[in-house]
Amino acid sequence: MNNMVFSTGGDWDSTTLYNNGMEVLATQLFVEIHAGRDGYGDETAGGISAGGEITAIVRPQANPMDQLGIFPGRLEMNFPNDTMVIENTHPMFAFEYTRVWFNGVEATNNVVDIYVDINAADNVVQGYITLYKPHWIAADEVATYNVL
Amino acid sequence: MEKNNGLHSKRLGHWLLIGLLTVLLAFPLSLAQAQRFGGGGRSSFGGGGGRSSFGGGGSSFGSGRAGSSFGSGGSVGGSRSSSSFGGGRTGTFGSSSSGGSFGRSGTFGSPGYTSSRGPSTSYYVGGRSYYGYGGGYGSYWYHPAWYYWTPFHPAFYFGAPYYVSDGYGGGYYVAGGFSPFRLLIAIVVFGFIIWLIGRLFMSRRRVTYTTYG
Repeated sequence: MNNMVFSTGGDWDSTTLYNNGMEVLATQLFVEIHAGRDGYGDETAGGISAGGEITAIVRPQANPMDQLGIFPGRLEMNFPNDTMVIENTHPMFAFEYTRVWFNGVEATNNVVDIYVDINAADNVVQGYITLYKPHWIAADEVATYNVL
Repeated sequence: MEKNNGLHSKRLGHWLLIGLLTVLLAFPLSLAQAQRFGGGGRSSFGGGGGRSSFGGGGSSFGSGRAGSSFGSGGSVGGSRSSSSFGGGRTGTFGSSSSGGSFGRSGTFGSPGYTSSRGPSTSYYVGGRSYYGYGGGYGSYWYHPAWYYWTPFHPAFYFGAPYYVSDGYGGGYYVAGGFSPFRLLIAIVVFGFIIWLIGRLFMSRRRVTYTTYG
């Protein structure tokens, strides 16, 4: 089972990827999660339990056309100001067994979108996470955190 | 002939008894009126309307004895022993030398009627004891409790007692009256509660979008 750790300091020189303690020479790390939406496509509470889809792949430098699946396993991403952990250890990679932590706080039932694209070939770096925060009196909040 | 006269008297006595019972049921007396005559059971023989039913003139308690239904004529049941009061009449009410049925003579004493005003209460304000008549929700403030300050108790809508001088150097406290300002406060409080419940459970969800970083 994969146990990947991605770290970046904000530039390519400080960007590393390890799997089970061994460095992975990768061209691209791509993670995308869509969850926490109702039948009309509007954001709602529930997170992973509301259903959705997940895409998490690594394209190795040796064969950039290859797409290696990260899950089942665990992916830890360390950004300059934030940390994000995604875990799915189900043998069949069932979506509902996905768990998400953001800055050490579990956000499994609040996550709406996760998008992380570290593309060395295209020199594209982008990452954000969107969470649904319900409130009692005030209006609910859909908060987007840019990690890169 | 004697037998016919006896039957005639007996029938007359029965009709008089029926008439008496009819009068008693047709004119029920209040407790205050009953107490005027010294007892609940005895009051059935009082009342203005009942006086004439005994026949004859004068007081129904005295001079009509000879012709009353309880006299020696035995018109009630034919004999003294069948009287509704049972036993000897003189022994029931006291001395046989009394001028009336109740064993007393002379004018009536102090009236025993109960007051028709509200319940009287004693209360303490400023370390002094006052005695006054209560009644109304404003009187609750004579013995205040913390929940009187909430709009869920009727006393909240009434002001505090205020002092009234009696003109002789003394005075007493009078219960406060209805306060429209407190009613306004209660409307605001209940309106807020209703709004809060509606906002929590019935309002459509609103969403705001924020971006960090």
